[in-house]
Amino acid sequence: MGTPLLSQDLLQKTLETAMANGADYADVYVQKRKTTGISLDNGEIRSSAAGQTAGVGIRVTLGASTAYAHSEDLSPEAILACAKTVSQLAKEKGDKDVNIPLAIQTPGNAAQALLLPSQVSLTDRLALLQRTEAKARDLRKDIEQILGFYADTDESIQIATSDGHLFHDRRCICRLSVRTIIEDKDGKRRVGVSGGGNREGFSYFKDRFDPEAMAAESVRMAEAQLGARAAPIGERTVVVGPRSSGVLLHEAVGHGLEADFIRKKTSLFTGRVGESVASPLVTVIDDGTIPGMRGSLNVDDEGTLPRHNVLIENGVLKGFINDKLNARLLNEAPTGNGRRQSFRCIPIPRMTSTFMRGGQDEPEDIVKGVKNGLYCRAFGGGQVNIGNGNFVFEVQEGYLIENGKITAPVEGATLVGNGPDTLSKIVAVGHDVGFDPGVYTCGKDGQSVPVNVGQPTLRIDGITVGGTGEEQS
Amino acid sequence: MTQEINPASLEKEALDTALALLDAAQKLGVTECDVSMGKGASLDVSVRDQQIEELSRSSQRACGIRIIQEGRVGFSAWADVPQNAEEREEMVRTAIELSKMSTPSEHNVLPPCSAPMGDELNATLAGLKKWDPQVAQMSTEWCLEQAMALEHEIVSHEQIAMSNNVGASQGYGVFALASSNGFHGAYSGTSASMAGGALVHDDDNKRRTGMWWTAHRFMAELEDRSLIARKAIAKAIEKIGARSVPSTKAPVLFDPMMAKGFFGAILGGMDGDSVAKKSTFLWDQKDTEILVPGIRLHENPLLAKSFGSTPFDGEGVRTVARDLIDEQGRITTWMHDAQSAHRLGEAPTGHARRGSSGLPGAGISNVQVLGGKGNLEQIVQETKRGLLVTSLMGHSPNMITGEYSRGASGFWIEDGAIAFPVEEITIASSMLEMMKSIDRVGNDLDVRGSLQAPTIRFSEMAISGK
Repeated sequence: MGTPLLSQDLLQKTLETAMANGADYADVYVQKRKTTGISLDNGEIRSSAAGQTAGVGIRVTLGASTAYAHSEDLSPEAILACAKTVSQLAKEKGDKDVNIPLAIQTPGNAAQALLLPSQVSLTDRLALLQRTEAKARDLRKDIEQILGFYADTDESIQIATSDGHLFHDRRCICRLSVRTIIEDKDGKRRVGVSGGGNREGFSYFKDRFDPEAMAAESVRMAEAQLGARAAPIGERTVVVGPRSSGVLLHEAVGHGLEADFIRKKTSLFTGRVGESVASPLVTVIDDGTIPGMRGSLNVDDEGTLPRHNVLIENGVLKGFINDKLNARLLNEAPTGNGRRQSFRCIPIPRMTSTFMRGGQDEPEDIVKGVKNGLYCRAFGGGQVNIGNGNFVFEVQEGYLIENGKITAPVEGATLVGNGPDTLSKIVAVGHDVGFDPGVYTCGKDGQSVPVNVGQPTLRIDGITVGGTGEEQS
Repeated sequence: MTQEINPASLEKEALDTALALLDAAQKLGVTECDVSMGKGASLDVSVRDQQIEELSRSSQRACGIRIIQEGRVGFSAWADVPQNAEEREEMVRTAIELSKMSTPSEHNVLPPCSAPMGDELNATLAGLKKWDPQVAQMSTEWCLEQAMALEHEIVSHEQIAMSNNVGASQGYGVFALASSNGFHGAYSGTSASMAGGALVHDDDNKRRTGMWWTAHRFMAELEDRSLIARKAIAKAIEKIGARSVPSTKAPVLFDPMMAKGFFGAILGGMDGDSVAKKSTFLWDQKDTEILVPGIRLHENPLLAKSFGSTPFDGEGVRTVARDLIDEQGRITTWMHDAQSAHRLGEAPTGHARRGSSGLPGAGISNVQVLGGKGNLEQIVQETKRGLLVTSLMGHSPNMITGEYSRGASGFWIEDGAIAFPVEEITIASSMLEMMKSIDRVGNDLDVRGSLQAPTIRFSEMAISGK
């Protein structure tokens, strides 16, 4: 890329220009990012892509107002022009004599890359996909399609803030995923997906993550759905499996606890700190400090260190997911959740790794206790309406529970419910809390950021199951 | 005031950048390659409580180069533009390096250039009317004034607790393509928009929100501000007291916005690459009657002032007007880029689409769903009992299997009239069954985007509730 990140002098001058008309706060975000993507489609590398981006984003806030400008041009003239543009949000005329000396701060160490992707040959990266495909084909000869995808991102960040902080951060994310399609007897396609990734760099795939195991999981998931029938519909008892099904938590409550929705009073959790919003069995945490995880951060995208934040404790609402702007307006502390997709975007409150604390119950006992219900092992996408709390999930891998046993696979089921209502109906929580393998990306306001979700086995008494099946009372 | 932006010089600059990169690749011995380049700027303003909430000025530029060497594809993209010969060479070399790793395939081809160029292209582009000089000004004053006034109208209604996501924007962009197949061309366009949301309080801490938006290349064609406010307000208020319904089977109506999503999924299923991989629910449905007869999905790439209009596709193939699904309910063509066309032994169809810095994939220009009559109100009146869906949640349909199962909200219809608002239910079927069960189509097209659909009714779907 050639262009170096910005000098401390230029960053200081940029902040001083941005603050010259008397704003509350300003920050400068500099980003240089390289990406690689390789896909292996039924044994063929149809194409491989490399990308690179560099740019700066400058923000000024005054009260609840924000002005933002960004530039790919990293020349001092272009950057100072952006600073001048955003400074006009504040009206105090004139060259307020602002002096903002910057002190270099040390970020945390939750996300340290041990081996950068650039230190590994493209052939070695490709080999992960080839091993995945070979294993899947070895397990099953009649696979209709295997699509493997590898992606890595390596970026350098600078964050300079008008409160005098300067952070440098290096961030690296690698991810591997696979989709397997097999054909059922009646011609229906059964899809299995699996994947994994984190922020340790490429060493994760050398030491701790096995592409063969990933391939086997994706074949298992596709095979498990052979012969699946439509799920009985209506209000049912649902048991949700551990780990990846934490997307339920992410959607059902996570988004509604983001402080921008609280400050704007558009979330149904507004003004409810201290109130019961879930079953007493439920404790929800967002934690950006767990080492190596896809959702973890050394520092958030506006210069706040991430923390272990308890959002709901024993069913009682404790706090929100905050960035600097909303924390100030709500008279709270930032929680290290101010994140952005790139230098083109304003930071907003976002989740990092959000999970429900494990409970006392044996997962097997939870299933045994259900006479008639639905077991959800994996979800596809989900979505929530912040204002009324309604959410929806596609069940990607689900089974009937009959007389305390997981039995036949079901297809085409969707769960629809209401966040607080569903959380209040949680009657059993397993001790088997775990995280997804590191494949999730969360979208909000058009910005995508990597996250983790985590959950133990849960029993929910009464959630609406949709699909084409018969109604069961 | 900002200085006037000239679309012709913007296009020339973008094209020069693309051609310089193409030239750099050819100098390094690459014989087959193409370059896309995009540049744009926008101003987005949002307001809350009669204050600026966000004022964001953005400019972006990006380019990508795809090379094909002995059937191997390599691709390099920059969210920036190489500034000199050295950077251009670096970008090309990255693509060459990546191509060496790729699997060679006879299907990795560039199409023959068939799109208009030079004077013919310029004449066609002039007819498309994509540029409003007033919008290109990106006036802070205009955006602020519209947003403030719109918010004022929304919160002035006695039942509205507050506004939500009220804003206005103006911007422009240019796209250029240069290919070793001989094609080179560029177009530019402007875009202005206004959006208003309203929020009312309901029981159980629930907030009911309604929103409406308008977007157009031309300022004069934007919907009236008061109309946007009225629609947003009505859409919030009408949801008060929404509830679930017992599980049942019933006719289901989609309003034009929901219908647009449905037809979008059908078009997505006609993607040539997915057909070649059999990873679409439509892969074996060509030449069969898949949609009820009488409805046409008509594509017109040269619709004046429309966002999707373009005389050339993302690989230099001429775009053509045609029915994608004809009156007999049959798919007339898959939507191809050169690679998927070659894979299926068919001719390129002009559907290659690519962003400023992406690889081509299939997509539409402008598609209208034609052949119906009447509007939403009339179709509701003709429905004895059923569900009108105005909002859907979730990522269904499953494009591989065609399974359709989504969270829905809207209104219950009894005896040809809206009875009460509905939420927390799902509707389910399969895409193929839904396509055959359409028993009513309106002509009330929602004309705000490049895919324009009317109200439709499915004769029966499974509704799940409590």
